[in-house]
Amino acid sequence: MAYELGAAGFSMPLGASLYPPPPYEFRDAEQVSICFEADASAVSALIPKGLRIDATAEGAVYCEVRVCNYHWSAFGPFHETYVIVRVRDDNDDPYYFLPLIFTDSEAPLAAGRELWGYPKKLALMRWDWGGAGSGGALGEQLAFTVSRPASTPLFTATFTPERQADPSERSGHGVLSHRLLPPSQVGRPPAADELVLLASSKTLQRDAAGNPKLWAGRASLTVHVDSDADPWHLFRPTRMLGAYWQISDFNLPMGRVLLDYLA
Amino acid sequence: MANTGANGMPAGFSMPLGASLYASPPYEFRRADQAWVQYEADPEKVAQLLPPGVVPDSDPPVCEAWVCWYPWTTFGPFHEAYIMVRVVVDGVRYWYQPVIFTDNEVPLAAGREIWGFAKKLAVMRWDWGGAGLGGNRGEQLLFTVERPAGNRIMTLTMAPERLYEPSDREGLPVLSFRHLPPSEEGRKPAASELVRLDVNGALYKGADGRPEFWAGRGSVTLPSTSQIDPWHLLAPTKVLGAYWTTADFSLPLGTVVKDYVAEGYFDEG
Repeated sequence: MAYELGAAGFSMPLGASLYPPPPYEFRDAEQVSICFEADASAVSALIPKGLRIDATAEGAVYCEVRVCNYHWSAFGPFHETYVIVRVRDDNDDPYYFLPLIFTDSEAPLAAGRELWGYPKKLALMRWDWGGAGSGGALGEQLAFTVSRPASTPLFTATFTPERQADPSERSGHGVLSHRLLPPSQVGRPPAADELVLLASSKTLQRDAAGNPKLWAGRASLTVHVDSDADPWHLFRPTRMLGAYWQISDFNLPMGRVLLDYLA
Repeated sequence: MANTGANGMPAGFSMPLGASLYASPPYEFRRADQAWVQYEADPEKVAQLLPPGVVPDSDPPVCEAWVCWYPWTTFGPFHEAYIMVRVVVDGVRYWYQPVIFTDNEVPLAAGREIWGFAKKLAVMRWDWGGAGLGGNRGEQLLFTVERPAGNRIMTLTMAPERLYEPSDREGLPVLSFRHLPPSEEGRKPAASELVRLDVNGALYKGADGRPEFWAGRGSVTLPSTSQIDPWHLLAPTKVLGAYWTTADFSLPLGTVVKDYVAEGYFDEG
C-alpha cells in the first residue's frame, strides 16, 4: 500500500511537502523599488532567447532593483531582493525580465525555483530603518544590505521617503522568468525550459488618512563586487531615476507559460 | 561580464543562467564521513511515505537512517541526514529515500531539481565528542537533527566496535521520487518520476591497509510526531546494526526507472 499521487501533497517530499499549492499570501509586505538605467550591452548577457533588451538610443535600459521585507507570508517571514529589466518579446510586447533574485528562507527558495523559475539563491540581507535603540543606522534612510557569502557585501541599497506618491506613477508590466529544470538522466531533455509570466497585482494598504502607503523619494544603489558567481555588477546604475516605498498585501498564483523552449 | 552560451542562452547548467547556482554533474565528495543505523520499521507507517509502485522488499520493512558530514565537496561543506527504505520496483531492489535534510542551499536545490532528493534545510550537528570540543564525553558519535532550530527530529548515535568487510554489504542503487509541479494551472508536472542513482565511490584505508568501514552498535530516535516532517513514521521497531565509513565518491546524473507522467497518472479523468 502506498500513497496516492494527487493526495499526498504538492511538492517534494510527497507526504511532507516543503510548500503547498499556490496561491501564496503576503501581508504587510514592505518593498522599495529603485528605478535606474544600466548599460544595455552588459545586461544583455543575462537575457534568454526570445527576449531582447528594450534599450534607449543611448544604449541604456530601464531596470529596477527591489528590496523586500515580508513580515508575514504563507512561507513565513523573509527578505528578498531582485532586479527586473525592461524587455520585449518577438511580438514587441513589453515585459520585465527577472534575471537575479536572492531570498533568505528555504521554502520561497524552492517554490520560487521549481514553480516559476525564479532563480533564487540564499543570501544574508538586512532591512534597517535605523535608530540608535535598535542598533541600526542613524539617519533618514532605509539601508538594505546584501551579502553573499556572509561577510562579503554584494550591494547596498538606501532610500529616503520624501513625498506621498500617486499609484498612477507606477505603471507595470508582467514579470517573466526563465524556468530551467535540468534533466535527471543523460540524453533526456530538461524537465522544463520555458519563459513563465506572472502578472499578479498588489493591493496597497492605506494610512490613517486613507492615503495609499506609497511614497516616493531618493535612493542609492552601490554594487561592491564584480562576481561571475553573482553578477549584480552588470546592473550598476548609469543614471538614477527615483525610488518608491510601499506596503501592500498580495498573493502569488501560478504563472502562464509564455514561451516553451522544448515545444 | 557574464558569458553567453553557444545556444543563444546565457551560459550555465542551472538557474539563474549566467550565474548558475550549481554546475553540471558529476559532483565530487572527499573524505565524506557517513554513519548509518539499519533497523526494522512498522509496515503500515512506512507505506504512508511510499509512492505508487514502490513496495518494501520485506515484512517488516528494513530501513536505514544515514547521517553525513561532508567536509569537502564541490557544493562546499555540509551536513546531511536521510532515511531509506529497502524496496522493490518492477523486480529490482533499491534503497528508496522518502525524506532527507541538508544544511546548504546548493545541494538543497541541486538535489531536488536533478534527482528528486526531497531535501529541506535543517540544523544538524556531527559530534564525536571530547571535552575540548565542548561535545559529549563517551564512546559514541552523536548526530542531532532539528527543524526548525530547537525542535528535535532525529538523534542518531553510533559506537564503532569492529572493522567490517565491505563485500559483506549488499550494494543497492538509491531511488528517489522527482516530482516537480507545473508552472501553469492545468498543465502536468514538469517531472514525476522515480530516479535511480548509482554512486561511484572508494573507501579510505587505515595505515594497516584495511578499509575504513566500521560496524558497531547504534540508536535512532525520532521524537517529533510531526505532520510537517513525519520522520516518526519511519521509527525503528528493532535495530539490526550500525556502520560508519570514510569515503570519496561522486554523484552523476541518474536513470529514470518509472515515469508517472508518461504512464498517465496525471491525465484528465
